[in-house]
Amino acid sequence: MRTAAYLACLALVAVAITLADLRIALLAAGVKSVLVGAELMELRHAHRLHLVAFVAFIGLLATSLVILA
Amino acid sequence: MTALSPSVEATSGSSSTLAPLDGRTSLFEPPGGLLMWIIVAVELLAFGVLFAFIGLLRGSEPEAFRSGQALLDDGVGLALTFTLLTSGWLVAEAVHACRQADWRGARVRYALALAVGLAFVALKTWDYAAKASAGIALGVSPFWDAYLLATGFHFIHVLLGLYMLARVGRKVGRSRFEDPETSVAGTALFWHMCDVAWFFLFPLFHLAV
Repeated sequence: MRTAAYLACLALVAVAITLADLRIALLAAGVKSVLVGAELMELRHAHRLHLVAFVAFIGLLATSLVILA
Repeated sequence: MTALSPSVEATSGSSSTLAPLDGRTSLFEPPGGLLMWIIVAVELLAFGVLFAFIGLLRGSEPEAFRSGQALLDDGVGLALTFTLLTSGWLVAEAVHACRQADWRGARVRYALALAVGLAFVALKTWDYAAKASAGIALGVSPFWDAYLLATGFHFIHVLLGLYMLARVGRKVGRSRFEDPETSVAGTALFWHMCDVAWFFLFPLFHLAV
């Protein structure tokens, strides 16, 4: 799963660069962050509240930046 | 109590090994340790404020961003993204190897992660040197102020993360950790935080206004 998350992140980088759209790139950054959080930061194994808080923070950050930028 | 939860066992100080993660950890003992999660949360909040500031600046100074972005090398930016992602993945694999008590595997992965992390440092240092030789410095334009301060703030975290990874990688399987969960998994957590911050920094500076 860790390798799958890593490869998915690489694919999302490629998609964001190819489309060259800031909003899509910021949303892709949010998805990559959640993948890194769940798999590499091991939040998948943490108490559910930790994963929910992390996803909520990243979602709020990505959405705010999409609106601001 | 006959069986401790993995994180309790890992943070008890009586073991020098990192316990495997079977099932979910408790609310106050997340993987990586609560202290490191508090640090990471504060850092991510600080980065979040910084990103919001850059987002606002993109809107208020579009000309400065356009002229600044024309001097950025997207290839270097992509290479930096690749090195951070790859290093983060290798560190996660190293932590997993530690949880399996595969010390040799962990040391190899730490060494590879450090090498790739150092490639980030070398590339970013070269990037800063190139910018400096082109006369770019603080005070030149709002874009370069934001770029140098934000990427510099991130770069300091990368250097700190690499130092911590080097120390942990050197000790793994050779000497005791008083708190293996925070030392091993917590250090990795800090390194992944650098990844997450870069995911947002890169498009904010490199993608056109």
